[in-house]
Amino acid sequence: MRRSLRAIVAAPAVAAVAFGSLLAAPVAHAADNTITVWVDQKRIDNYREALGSSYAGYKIVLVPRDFGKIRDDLATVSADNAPDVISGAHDWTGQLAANGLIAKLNVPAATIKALAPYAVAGFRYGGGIYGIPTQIENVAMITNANLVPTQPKTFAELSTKALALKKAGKVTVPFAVPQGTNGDAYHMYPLFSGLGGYVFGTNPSGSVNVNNVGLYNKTFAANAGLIDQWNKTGLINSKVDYGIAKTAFTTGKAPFWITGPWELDAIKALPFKYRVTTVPPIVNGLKTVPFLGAQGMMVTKYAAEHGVQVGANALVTQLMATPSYQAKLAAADGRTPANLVAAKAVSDSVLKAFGAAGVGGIPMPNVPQMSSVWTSLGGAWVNSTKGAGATPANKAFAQAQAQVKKAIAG
Amino acid sequence: MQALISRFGGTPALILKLLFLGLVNGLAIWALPQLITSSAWVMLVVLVGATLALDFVLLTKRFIPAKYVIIGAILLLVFQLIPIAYTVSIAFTNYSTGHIGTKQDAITQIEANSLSETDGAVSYTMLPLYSEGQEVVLALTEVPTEDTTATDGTATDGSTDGSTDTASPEPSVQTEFGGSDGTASPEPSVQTEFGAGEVSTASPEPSVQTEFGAGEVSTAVPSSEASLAEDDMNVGVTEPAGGWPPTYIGTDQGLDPVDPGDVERDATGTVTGVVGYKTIPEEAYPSLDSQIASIKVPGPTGGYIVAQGFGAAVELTPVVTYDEATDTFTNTTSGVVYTDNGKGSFTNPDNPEDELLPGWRTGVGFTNFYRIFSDPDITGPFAKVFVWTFVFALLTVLLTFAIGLGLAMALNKPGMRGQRVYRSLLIIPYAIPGFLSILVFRGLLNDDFGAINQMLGLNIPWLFDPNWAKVSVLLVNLWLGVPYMFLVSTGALQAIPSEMQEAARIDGARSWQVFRLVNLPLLLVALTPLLVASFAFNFNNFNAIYLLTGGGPAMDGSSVAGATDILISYTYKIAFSAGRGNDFGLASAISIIIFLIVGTISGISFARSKALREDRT
Repeated sequence: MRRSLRAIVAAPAVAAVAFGSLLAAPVAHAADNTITVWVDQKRIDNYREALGSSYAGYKIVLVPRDFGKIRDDLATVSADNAPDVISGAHDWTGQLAANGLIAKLNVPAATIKALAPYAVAGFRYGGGIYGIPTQIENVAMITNANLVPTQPKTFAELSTKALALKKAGKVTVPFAVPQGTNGDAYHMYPLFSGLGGYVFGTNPSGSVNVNNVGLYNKTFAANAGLIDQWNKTGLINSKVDYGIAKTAFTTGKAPFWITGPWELDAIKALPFKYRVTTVPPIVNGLKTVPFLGAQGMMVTKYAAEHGVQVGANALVTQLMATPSYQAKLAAADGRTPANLVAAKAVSDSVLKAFGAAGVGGIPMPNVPQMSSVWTSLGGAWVNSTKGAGATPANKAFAQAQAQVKKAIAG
Repeated sequence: MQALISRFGGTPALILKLLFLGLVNGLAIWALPQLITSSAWVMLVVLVGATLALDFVLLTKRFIPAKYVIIGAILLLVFQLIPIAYTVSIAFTNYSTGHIGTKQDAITQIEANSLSETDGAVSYTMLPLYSEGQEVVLALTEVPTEDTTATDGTATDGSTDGSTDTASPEPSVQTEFGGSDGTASPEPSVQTEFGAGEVSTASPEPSVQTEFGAGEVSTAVPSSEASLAEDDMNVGVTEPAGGWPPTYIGTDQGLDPVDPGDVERDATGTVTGVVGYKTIPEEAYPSLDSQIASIKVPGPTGGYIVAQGFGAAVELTPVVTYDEATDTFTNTTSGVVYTDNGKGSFTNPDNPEDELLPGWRTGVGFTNFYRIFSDPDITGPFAKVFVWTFVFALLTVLLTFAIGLGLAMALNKPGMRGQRVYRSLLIIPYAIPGFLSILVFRGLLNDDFGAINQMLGLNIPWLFDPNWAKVSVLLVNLWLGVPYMFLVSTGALQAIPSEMQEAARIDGARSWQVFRLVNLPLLLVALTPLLVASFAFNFNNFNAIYLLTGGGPAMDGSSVAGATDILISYTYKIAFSAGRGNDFGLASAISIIIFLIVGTISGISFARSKALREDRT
């Protein structure tokens, strides 16, 4: 009895120690020479191809993440599992910087000059640069050249053609711009800017001024009646969501489609001739420009905690800004590089056309206050273009303006 | 069964038990150092306590009942009670965008972020070297100033201008791609098309429509590849006229000029070493990372020169400095003093809007709860969402139960033909994953393009009208919920002895009376707990709302809540997309209110259903 009791106590203890040391051995915290990079899980192979597995003696570990969640996950991840570098969209900068999760980069002037100015501006927040842009993107209008042999010069002309096609039963969606129940202010932006709308004004220094909300400014208010007209004729219809818009256009059931280079594969597979352009001007003197977006790399505050601060900084500000890296990434990833030299070398004519459609565009504001803009502005478009029973645009956008102002005053 | 248990008694059982405990203890030992290094004291106490309790209870011969419940109890503690405690603790903080770390983190971050390149500061190329005493020093070589004149400074590159009335200064490239048909138009207009079966000409000049597409031969541009090969390295092979820029050895003590003759350079002019110092092989960089990062060389303009990656260094001066004694930040140029405002931020007392970012997480008492009931921007939508949540959960339970029971009774008739087929068909919606059905319904219900309106020739705004969207949510939830109610009702009906119904009939009761006075009360005894559970489930049925309407359509007067949002989806939106980003504190406060509501209702209902049962027995 005595012996068995002793065995009972001894056995788990031995097993525990053995098992514990077995587990502890390989997990003993990842060596300090590792730079962990969170990248979009769908594009991890593209990054791997461009980046390789080591840099200046550091081992580079790419961790696949759901791209849309990287921003929020960085706020909750434990320091042990935290990345040293993340790939991200420029419009996350404000929130991440305000949270103190990403580190300010003091980028040499020569590096900055080599990158698209608006893309760098996108990563600027409160006087500092928090990321290096690697890819840039914006939406453009794709036209089915079979249905529309000549490119309309004005939006009114476009409207007439589109509605005629719809009336003739040749198309189901006269103008395929995605919205859905919760709206999509990003894809709607060319129309929004073409009517005179803007989101935030700018300070003289070039930073975003969140106290100047332009969702319902005077110019836009004067033109908002056009939205009601589009709604009445069915040209713009908020029931068209992303899937419907894409399917309609790619099957030849929509003459026009607003989309971005992330659909490059689908665009190149189109069985008909098409053109990639800006949206034609709606009101004289107002430009129909898209939001400009940049994706890039940011160094997190954890790089310093993990003791790889200098390496992570070098990786992002030195390697990733170079034309050769960005060209390699572009070749793998199919987006326009932010580095001007690498961008010039882009040979893909469709990508180039997207780039041309983005000239003069507005960098999407990167302040945390944008989250209220997306819901309110998207909602205003949905409510004013939902067909019968739609809210008059003047009312819907005035409301959106008030909501955003309230949310910011918070 | 008895045989099975006895077979697993004795030695095999003991071995299994010891293996299990060994596994548990091993995991605990593995986790211990990690919890200690990350200062997770609560989890540490829970881990040690739970492991010891498990060892003790399973190894002793006493506490027989405890042996059965201890594992469940520990899991309950870890996966239910701790998250609840955590949520409660967050509800009393300002955990939100800008307030997520500790105060110490915030101070570190503010200090780091305030380091800025001073105007006209010199940039350096940097090479880490070992001194004779194996100290790491930085060999800093000035970068000629013409490169630094174009400092990053302002970003006023036209495009950031958000205002509308400005004349467009940019070259209007869109005309290049828009334009007329190929007829002679006065202005040069190019219409570029990409399309099927055409060889790209890719010539931008002539005013011809250019079309691209499938079968297109890609016209790669090889010429630019050459320029890509050479990275933007400073290439200067021969010594410039004014001599090489000065090189210094930088340490925490300051800059020490190096005699130009002692500087070693490679063919491109890049500094590769300094006589008297040892070069560091690249492989060693990672291990020296923290050391290099910590070197702060006092610079000529009063700031510190710090490494920026391995090749470069810049002189930085802080915009604000922290004074530990007074716990304040002071702006070095304007003299503004930022004090702790007690709400997790350093602010300028004269202008509370003037805030240093980031702030930190701190207790704010009942502020979040107070906001729910006093802030009109939250109270208005909250009240609407609150009412709709009740309506949604109650109607869902009542309707699914009514329909499910009705179907169960209809199919419960003995000797009915095809009974099994009908029953199987009814269970199908239950067998398909719910999120899949919901997504399919979202497509079917689309107002203009959905199959339902098109096939039925209707024009109902299923998802875009606030009231119809509520109907849609309910209908889809019925589709998902009825099979469950049908199943449990069928089971409960079959459990009712037929003698009781016969007895009632003999007493002269009609069918309706049999149902109302005999079947229904007996059913409710069995099903009330399930109905309560169903209510609690639907009260928090996030999927049904979020996947179908996303809470939409937008509710007037709120930038967060939508017309079909229930409390849990509203909470989710507040947590992740409130006005300024995330607001976990407020979301947690609402979660607690949800918990209290569901808990109270469930508690009362269970108490009543128990009473119901005691009446009958």
